[in-house]
Amino acid sequence: MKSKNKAHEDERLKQLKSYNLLDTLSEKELDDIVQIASEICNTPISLISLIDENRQWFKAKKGLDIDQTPRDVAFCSHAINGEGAFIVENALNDSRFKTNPLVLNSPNIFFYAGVPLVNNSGYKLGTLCVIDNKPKKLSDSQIKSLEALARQCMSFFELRKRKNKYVRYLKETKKINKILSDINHLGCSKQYLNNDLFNSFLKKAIHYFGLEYGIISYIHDNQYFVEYVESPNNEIEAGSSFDLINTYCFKTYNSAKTITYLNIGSDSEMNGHPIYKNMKLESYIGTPIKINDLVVGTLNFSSKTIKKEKFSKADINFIEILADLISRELTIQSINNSLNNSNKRLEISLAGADLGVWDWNLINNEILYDQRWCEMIGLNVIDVKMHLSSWLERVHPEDKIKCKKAFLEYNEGKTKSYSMVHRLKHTNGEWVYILSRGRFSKFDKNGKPIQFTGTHLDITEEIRNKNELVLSEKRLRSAQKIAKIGDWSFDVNTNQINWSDQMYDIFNENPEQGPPSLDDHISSIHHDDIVEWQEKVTACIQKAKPYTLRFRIINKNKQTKWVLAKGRPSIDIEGKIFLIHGTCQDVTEQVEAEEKIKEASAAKSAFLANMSHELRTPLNAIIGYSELMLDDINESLDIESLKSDIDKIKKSGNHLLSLINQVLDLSKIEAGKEDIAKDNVNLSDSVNEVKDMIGSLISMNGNHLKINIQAKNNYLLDKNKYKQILINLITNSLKFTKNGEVKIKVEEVNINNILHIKTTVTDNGIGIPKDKLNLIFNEFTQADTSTTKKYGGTGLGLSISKKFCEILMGNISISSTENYGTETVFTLPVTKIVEIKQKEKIKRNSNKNKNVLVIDDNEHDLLLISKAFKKSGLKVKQAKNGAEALSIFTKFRPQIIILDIYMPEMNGFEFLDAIDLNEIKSNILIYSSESFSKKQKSDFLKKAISIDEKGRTSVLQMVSKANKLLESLSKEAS
Amino acid sequence: MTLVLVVEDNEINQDLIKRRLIKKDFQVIMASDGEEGLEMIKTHNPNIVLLDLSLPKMNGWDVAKNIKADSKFNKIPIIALTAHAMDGDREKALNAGCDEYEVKPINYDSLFEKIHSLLK
Repeated sequence: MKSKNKAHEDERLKQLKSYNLLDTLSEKELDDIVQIASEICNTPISLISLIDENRQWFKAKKGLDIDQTPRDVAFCSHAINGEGAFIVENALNDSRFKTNPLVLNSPNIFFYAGVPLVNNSGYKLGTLCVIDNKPKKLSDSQIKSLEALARQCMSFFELRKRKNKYVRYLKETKKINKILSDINHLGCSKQYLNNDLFNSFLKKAIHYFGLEYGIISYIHDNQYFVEYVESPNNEIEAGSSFDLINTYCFKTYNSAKTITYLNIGSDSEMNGHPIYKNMKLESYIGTPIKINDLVVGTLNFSSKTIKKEKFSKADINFIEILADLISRELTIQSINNSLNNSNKRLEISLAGADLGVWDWNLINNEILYDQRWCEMIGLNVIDVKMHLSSWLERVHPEDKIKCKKAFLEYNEGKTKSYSMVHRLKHTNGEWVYILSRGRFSKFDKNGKPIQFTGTHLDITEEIRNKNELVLSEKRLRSAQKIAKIGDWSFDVNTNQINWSDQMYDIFNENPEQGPPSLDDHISSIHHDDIVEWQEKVTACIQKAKPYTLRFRIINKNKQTKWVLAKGRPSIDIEGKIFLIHGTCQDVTEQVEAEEKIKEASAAKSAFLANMSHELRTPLNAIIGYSELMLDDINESLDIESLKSDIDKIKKSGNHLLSLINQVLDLSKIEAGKEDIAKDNVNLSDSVNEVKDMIGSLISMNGNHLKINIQAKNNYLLDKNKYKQILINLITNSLKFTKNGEVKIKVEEVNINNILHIKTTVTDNGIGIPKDKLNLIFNEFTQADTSTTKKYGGTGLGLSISKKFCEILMGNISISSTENYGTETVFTLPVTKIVEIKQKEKIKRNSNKNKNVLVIDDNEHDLLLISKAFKKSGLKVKQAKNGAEALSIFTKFRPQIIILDIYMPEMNGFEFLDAIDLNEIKSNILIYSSESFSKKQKSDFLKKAISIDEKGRTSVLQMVSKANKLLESLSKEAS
Repeated sequence: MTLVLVVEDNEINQDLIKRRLIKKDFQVIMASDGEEGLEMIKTHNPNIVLLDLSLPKMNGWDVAKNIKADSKFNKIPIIALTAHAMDGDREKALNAGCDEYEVKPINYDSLFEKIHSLLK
């Protein structure tokens, strides 16, 4: 409803402005009206008040000195809201006005009667009102008179508007005439003035031919009209008319050719002609004036004297050129006439002298261009060929089809006129944007257009400005999208919110539904932030205080987002805040990042505090016992007691060492510097090694260990890390179990078609409370702080185990029931190498025929590795980089590729991507003289596994450092 | 003779502190967790308590709070012994009611000084 009112108000203001009344001088007619109104109503004050956005302005006034008042205190604002006369008999009794400054102060309005000034469309522009500084009552007849006066006033406004329009129209017409007069100068000397151009022609030609009479005639319906004439003593008058047949021109007209007579008296055919009889005109030269190939009249010269010499070819040329010029002029006049009749012409002519004119003969494609037309594209009218080609060859190739289409649409009657923007090439090489408009100006008998006339307007600047505007708007929007910034405004008076596109994205709202209401918007703000938001916004609205506020919103998808909003007040000329506007940025990502940093920093502090605590405990023992021993040595030398103390120092020292080692492990993992080794692992061996290492721990709590190895193959696996994980898990179980059983099970499983080793450690110990289970992998966390004291341990074991599993692309999980037991499971992806080894062994015998391609940019390594293979009798080729290797690869078809990763031009990974791995059955060994990054390793491992998955025999291995590669080569060779 | 109660769960620390105190002619009794410590204060009414803060069953801060809230025993001085040596740990111990604070590893000279000044 509010927006409807606003639309109505916008339209009302538009209409008001169209009358051009505001801030103009006073006008007698209107002054008279207020004079009469005040007399009829017997009031000291009468006004014609016009109400615009924020004030009432008095077009006519009696009894008041000011020109305007703010709109919000104006009585007239009320008057234009209702129908008919608005009357306040005593403002002091009216709650709406009793505190109004215009009542309390000068001019002390006590009585007010206003009649709206309603225009034809029903919009109220203002009022005719009468005011008194004492209470009053109007009689019915007074009110009726006031209403009548208001109507008078309004009809004066209408008349005035029409008059203004007419004056404007006259001005435009003059402008057009000025342009067209420029055209008149085409091909003529500038000394001719517009008005007597034709007479100048005639005079000049009479002189040239040495004849006496010159006439430009217009012939219509066999009537010969003298349009322009030069004659001795002005004996022939312009405007007189004859039957065509009674003039010498009938033949000229009918034949449409130039006709000459030298001595009509001696011409048997002509000497009976009425003209000869009446005027004794002996000599004559006449030529048709054609417009669009239709003869419309003649140009003819004659004399009473006999011409002795024949009219020369030059004479005939001369008269025909003149006729042509006249024809052009008449064409232009016809344009003038036809355009003058159309409102369109008015509109086009608004651009005034900037218009270029063209006139196109559709029969022969000749086009007349005027001076301005030529100037627009840097041409001089004298040099321009008056033909379609002059235009056509300058039109931008991309625009030609558009022009043709627009012309055809107009020709077929689909459009009312031809109107189109196209580019023309300026002589300076730049493209000029032209608004071309035209319409058919002449038709043949069948109604087919034969003349097409119009204008050119150079709109390059406007287009450029518009493009720049569109571009900068585009850029702004795109920047806002990237930065997730939207902009908004809020109308303080109507509570209307306006949003840019990006705002809808941030709030996840549908732009088609428009911006939300204020209430809806408030309901999307997080309830914990709403108070602060309201404070800021209120301060902005009431105290013009700009604000910046970060708060949460709940968008339509129930997502919580952080936004950073900035708001600024807009203040109108009276210092009132009418709008606040600003930006709103989605800063969720930033806030989340900040929170992560905070969490990380808190975790680091907690880690440090824990570390400090953990290190102090063994140090306490070491220092304490050392001090005790120093004391004891002085007092007694009880060797047994000293031994026991030294043992305690040693144990504490060892504990400290394992603590420091594990912390280093952890920091290495966190820095991503942990290497992954690919060892040939027999799991049964590895588990037994672990069992030996734990040793005495097993029996300490009266437990026994049960080992079940089902994965009996050899696997590619990082042996040390596997063992370390297992040690951590088994010692944990042993520590927290008394007189129980710890079971270890190792088996092969398939996860997503990838072979894994699953290792399960189960105990029947004290278990872990449910609420502590999810913390168990964090650093320095044991289920209870006191357990550290009771059971020892660094609290880092599980944390490190988990991180090792992650590095090896595996998984670890724990499940537990308090007082019943705990089960820890970890799975690691592996490559089975048992079969390959066997195959390799078989193949090794036929190795003699195998091709090896060694690729390394380091020449030393290249030679070294090549040598090792040559020794075993294999065919070896070398390449210094991936590109070189690629060229060798296709012909050489190597079965074994030794590939360095870091190489110039094409590195190892790029080489692998370039060769078709499906085509080859090569064993590829990859190594690098630098350590691999974490990402490279995991990418490569994925690749290696995926290739094996497809069942191909290719084995991809990674070895860091060339010397390790040689080691593994020599192992295989042995 | 002065009776000292040591509340400490780590056996090595128990041994160390006990031997040091005995050398200085203190009579020493031991408790291994917070609950036991609180019980022994009430039954033995020691002259001074050396209290570890990280204890099983009831932590040292709670033991101190309990003692200081009991009008019968709140005059007994308490020295906190802890490996918690970060900023704020001292304040935390004093706020809980401890009279003094000693960081592990224990500097025994400093500890005895504190014991003596508290017993004066």
